[in-house]
Amino acid sequence: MFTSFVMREKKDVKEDAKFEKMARELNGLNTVSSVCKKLGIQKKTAINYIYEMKKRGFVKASRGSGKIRMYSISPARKKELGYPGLYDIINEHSPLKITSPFNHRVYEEMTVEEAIVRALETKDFRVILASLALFRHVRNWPRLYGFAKEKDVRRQVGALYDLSRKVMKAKRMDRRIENNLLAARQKDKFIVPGISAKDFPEISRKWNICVPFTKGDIKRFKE
Amino acid sequence: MTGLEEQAALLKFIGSSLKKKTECLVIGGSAMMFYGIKNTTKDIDMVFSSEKERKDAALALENAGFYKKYFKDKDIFLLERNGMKIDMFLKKIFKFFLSNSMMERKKEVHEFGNLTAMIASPEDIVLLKCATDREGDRIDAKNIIEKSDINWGIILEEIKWQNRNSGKALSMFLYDFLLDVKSLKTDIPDKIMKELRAINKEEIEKLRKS
Repeated sequence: MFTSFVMREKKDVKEDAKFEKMARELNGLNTVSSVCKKLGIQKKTAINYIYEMKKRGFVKASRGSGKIRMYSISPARKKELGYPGLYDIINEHSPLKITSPFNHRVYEEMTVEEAIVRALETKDFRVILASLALFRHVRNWPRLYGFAKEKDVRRQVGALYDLSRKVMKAKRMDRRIENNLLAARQKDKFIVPGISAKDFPEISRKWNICVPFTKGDIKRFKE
Repeated sequence: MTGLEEQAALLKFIGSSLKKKTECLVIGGSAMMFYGIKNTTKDIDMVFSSEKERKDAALALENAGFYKKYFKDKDIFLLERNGMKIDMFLKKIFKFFLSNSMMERKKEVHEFGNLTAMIASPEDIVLLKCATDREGDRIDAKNIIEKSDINWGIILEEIKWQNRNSGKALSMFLYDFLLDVKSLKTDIPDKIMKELRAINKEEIEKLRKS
């Protein structure tokens, strides 16, 4: 019995090494057909290999455009700790996807309300544009106000909320919260430093904030 | 030896104890654990860019029963408790300097409350591994090179910057280190070794002139 256990262990180690070598060859983003091409194997075998590599922690699956299954293959067996960070939250909720400059993980769960304010903090045009979709998922307006006050971006948050209502069905903001946001005194008038568009003058006037997005940018949510 | 979960718990503890947002760069074996290249590490290596932030982080651990030692010659805080070791560097990792590009090249950012741990890129981990003279570091470097897609151009650019900034021929250490790693049957392009030799030649010339 002991001998058979040792034999099984040896076989597992050998198989592990085999699939690690395969993961090294396939390192990067793959589809079933790209695996077939790279290894010169049939589709059925490729699916089996991907399954075996996934079981060993070399593969992370996701869906690409057109619902194609994408496999991120790496010879390193990465264990994700904590909760998804800003970029993952935006990509989960927004139809506009962004590429994250790094893998962001947080160890206290990030709420949608916090993500809106954190997106504003990046001052990145694409990140802020994609984050507009998060307003649809806001449940706790006082929490959003709290984060906005902490980072001193209350007027920016208000302007983005009004903008998001132009393209999607976001829940109505608490009147009291809206008044508090409007009452904020802020020096910084920009959402993205130095960028100002003239397509939404009523929002700019109401919040005294330079909106960086044009109608064309916002239209992308409807496509 | 410290595992990934243990390390995360410790960093979380530091983050919850700090009163202000603090950033650090995680290097060495601890960074490798975040990439899934290594399962355990002997010590957690953290590099700070401000002395106050380093002191605050060390104080948080001291309050939790860690014993602090200070190595004046290397400017390192070593904190230890029950076999768990943490090295805290300030802007300098032995002979190497913490550069802005190292911070920008980070591949992962982990936020533990008020502590933001930026994980050094695999290229920087390899580079900084050559600062020490341990056999384990060569094996670590071999594993990094085999399991991640190393951009050798980055390593060359960084070592040139390190040479310039330190006024020392640090590229010689890197060359010797990579030779050792290569002898462990690691695939390091010959072109890179050749370029490193050329950089070293230039450095020797400079030393002769001075």
